[in-house]
Amino acid sequence: MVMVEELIRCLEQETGIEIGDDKREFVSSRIEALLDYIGYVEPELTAEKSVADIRETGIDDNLIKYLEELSRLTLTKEEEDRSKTELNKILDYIDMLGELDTDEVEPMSHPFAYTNNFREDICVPSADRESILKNAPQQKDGCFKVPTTVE
Amino acid sequence: MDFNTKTALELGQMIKNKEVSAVELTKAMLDNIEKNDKDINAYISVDAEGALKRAGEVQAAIDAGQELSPLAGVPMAIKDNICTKDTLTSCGSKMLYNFKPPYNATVVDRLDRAGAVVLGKLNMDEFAMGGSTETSYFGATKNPWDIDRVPGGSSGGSAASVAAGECTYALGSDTGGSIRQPCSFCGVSGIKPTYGAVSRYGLVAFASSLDQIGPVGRDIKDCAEVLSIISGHDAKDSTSIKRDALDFSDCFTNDIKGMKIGVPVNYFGEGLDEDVKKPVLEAINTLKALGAQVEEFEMKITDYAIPTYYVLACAEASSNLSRYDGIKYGYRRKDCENLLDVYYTSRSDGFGMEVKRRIMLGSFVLSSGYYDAYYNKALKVRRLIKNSFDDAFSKYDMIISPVAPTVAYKIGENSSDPLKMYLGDIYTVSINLAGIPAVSVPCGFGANGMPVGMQLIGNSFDEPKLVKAAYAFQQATDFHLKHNKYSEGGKA
Repeated sequence: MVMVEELIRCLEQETGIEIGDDKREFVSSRIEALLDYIGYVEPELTAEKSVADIRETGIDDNLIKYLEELSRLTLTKEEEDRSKTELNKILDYIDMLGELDTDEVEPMSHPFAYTNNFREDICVPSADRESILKNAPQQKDGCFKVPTTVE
Repeated sequence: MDFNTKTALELGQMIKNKEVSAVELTKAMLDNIEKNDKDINAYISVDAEGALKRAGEVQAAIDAGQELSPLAGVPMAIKDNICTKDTLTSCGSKMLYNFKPPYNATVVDRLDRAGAVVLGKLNMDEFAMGGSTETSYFGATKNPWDIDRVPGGSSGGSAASVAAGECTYALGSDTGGSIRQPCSFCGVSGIKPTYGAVSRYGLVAFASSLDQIGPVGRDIKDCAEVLSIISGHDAKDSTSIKRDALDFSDCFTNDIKGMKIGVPVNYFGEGLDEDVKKPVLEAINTLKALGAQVEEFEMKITDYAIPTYYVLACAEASSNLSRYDGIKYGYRRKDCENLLDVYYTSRSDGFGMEVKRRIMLGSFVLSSGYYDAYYNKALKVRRLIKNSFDDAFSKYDMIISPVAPTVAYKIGENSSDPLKMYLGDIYTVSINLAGIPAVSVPCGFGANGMPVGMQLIGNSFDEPKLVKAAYAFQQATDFHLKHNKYSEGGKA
């Protein structure tokens, strides 16, 4: 939970005591229980700001969290702050595109107007399993190995 | 024989004439790498054993009378985002610190058939995202003209290795200027081909609608030879155009009389350093003296190229880089509890800050609610940019411009301000958005004796016209022949 991490960070800052890895789980579980008791529900991260809001007030902490989730990245607090400043600067700059009237313009996603590029449906051997698997961080019985996906 | 004064084609001819062997040349190059690369750091990996073995094989084939190509036996090197079978291809990232591809990129296979000897893999900005080769996980590459300065990027290793005499020619890739800008910073020549002219099969994807592989060399003739080897249709890349390889055989006539060259005056206004402007304007005069017809015109739309480029390039990157999940290859954080944990921790550890920033910006412009205002808007401006190039090429054979607004800057000078770094791409990104070709060739020296390059921009598949003009320019000037202290005196 974001709220739990936030509270632990406040605790550490206020008390000057660093909560070590061995105690962290315990402290987290107590805070979670407390939040549960008072009926706290963590808000879902969404892009709730409109484009006009973004242009007015910029990207905020909540939107940074949302972008981390979309990008499957976890930033440190310092990286989040830096990203917020830099992304806002870049978006300010990008907003100059608004000066151009593009209402009648067809979007261009590719340098050339491609149609499907078909080839003959002929079977050819693909790479062998061994050569593909040799780069895998973990493998088992000829497959990629991953941690438990379904409890 | 002082081999650093020779071009790749001259060396290829000398091998054929038995004046030097491929093995001797490869040994000499490896010695040069050993001597220079402590300072330059152009290479991520060097395969001395493999190179010498290959040189021996190619020499045997030549001795047996096989016609491989004019570059057979000449040692070269490859940017580290181009897949080479069973040898490290890291993209300058911790994420791929141990990745050994199970296959060759199409360009690597084609060079192999042409008898190329691969010395190793070259440094680059992480995942080709940057203009200084400072974001590499393997440390920054230095500019051979002044090792306190950046070589440019992202193909900084490619340009620096050629400029330092650590290879004869190199492959780079160009998504927004990544071949042309380092060539300008390091005083060497390079070509960003037409989109679809060279197969992208085996090029690690950054922005798929913008990426192209291209050559870096000591002069434009070498670059043209390399491009004629690597270009042409490839069924493994569905965006590769169904055409034959580019043919440059009529380009070396030294006759450009009547060629029409447009000068976009707004490219020479505010933001362009005086010491870059001067040599480029002088180059325009040189081309005039050679018989070209030069005319000024306005191309205001390209003022919008950088915001358009960064929206689209980041959007495509965020999608392309979603493949790095810590499961199939590359870096994985140990002891993860669940699958989501593998994704989050491996990506957070494996990517550097610039890559993370671009993925997040890309996720933003593609996300629901913002897609129309940012991504779709940029796609529309891309069309306007393409249209303005079409207009220009209805009047001119080519356009001339600077490559970068400055000479190579000091290491660390721009790395703390991403936007400032992006603004350095002002003259190069619109070419990728339009999918057209451009060459970068040395045209003088600016402040502190640093090289300056000029850019010739052509219509789709007009590479031969660009090479013809650049060749005539290099016949009339000697900027591409100048040496720095690292490129001097390599003996074979």
